Amino acid sequence: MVKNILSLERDLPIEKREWPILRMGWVIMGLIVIGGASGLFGGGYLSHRKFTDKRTSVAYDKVLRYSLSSEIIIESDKLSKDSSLVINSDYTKKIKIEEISPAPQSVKMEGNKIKYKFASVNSNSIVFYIKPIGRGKQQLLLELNGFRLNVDQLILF
Amino acid sequence: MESIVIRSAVIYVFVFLILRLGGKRTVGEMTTFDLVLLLIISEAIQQALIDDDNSITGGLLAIITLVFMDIMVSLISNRFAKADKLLNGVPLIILKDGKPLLERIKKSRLQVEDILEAARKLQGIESLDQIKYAVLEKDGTISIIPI
Repeated sequence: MVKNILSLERDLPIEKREWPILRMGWVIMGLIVIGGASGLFGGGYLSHRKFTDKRTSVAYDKVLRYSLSSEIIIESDKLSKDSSLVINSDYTKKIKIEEISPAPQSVKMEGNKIKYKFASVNSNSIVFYIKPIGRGKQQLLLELNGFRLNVDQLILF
Repeated sequence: MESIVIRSAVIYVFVFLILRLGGKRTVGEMTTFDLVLLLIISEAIQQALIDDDNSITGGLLAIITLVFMDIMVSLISNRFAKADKLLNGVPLIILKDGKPLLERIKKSRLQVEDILEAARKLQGIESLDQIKYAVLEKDGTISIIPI
């Protein structure tokens, strides 16, 4: 076989097959970048959810990322009197609650639930500052003075 | 907190500007100190890029954003000649018919010895009067065209 520079032309079909694949890759990358910027993979607009009923609203992130801080904001006019907020204890297996604002007066374990008691709340909101420490699906069961909500969250790796 | 995609994009633009301001010589003729400086810069940037997001998803998003922006810049440079000149600079003749163009060499932070070095390495040339043109290319390398 003669080896010269023209032998490179024999590989041209391989290169030509690659071109559309590369362009498809660029388009996919562009879509991922747009999705990422808008929060499809957590930490942005598309991952935010807000549940609202007459007196209570809960804002949270549907999609979380491992180690990326997030918040759960509970707003309710029921907070004006002494309030008890209950969550399922297994929620804390994958989510670390770093801070609660305002700080609860007491925290009690009751079976498979954690009960936070707020003595007097000046504002109408409670904020949970959370950090995912596990991965996968996670369910939060939230009870506040008769109001109940199931929140499904997904923690990405 | 703002998206890792936005942070990556901002850092890309910033690094691009800094390296562009650094001139051709920075990229083309990297000294040991330049290499160490580059490592320090990458370490400083890493903190700003990742923040408290230690997830694999976050890392992948940062990588995809940076590579995607680079592809976009190359596509824009390829399609628009003016943008290419603005983004990547232009080649510069620094020696013509054996005579070094001293002002251009000085402004490019080069020395005549750099031309001689490139001439020796690339063409085995030993003196300037054997060179027809020396060109400082966009990537910071020096091309030698012998007489």
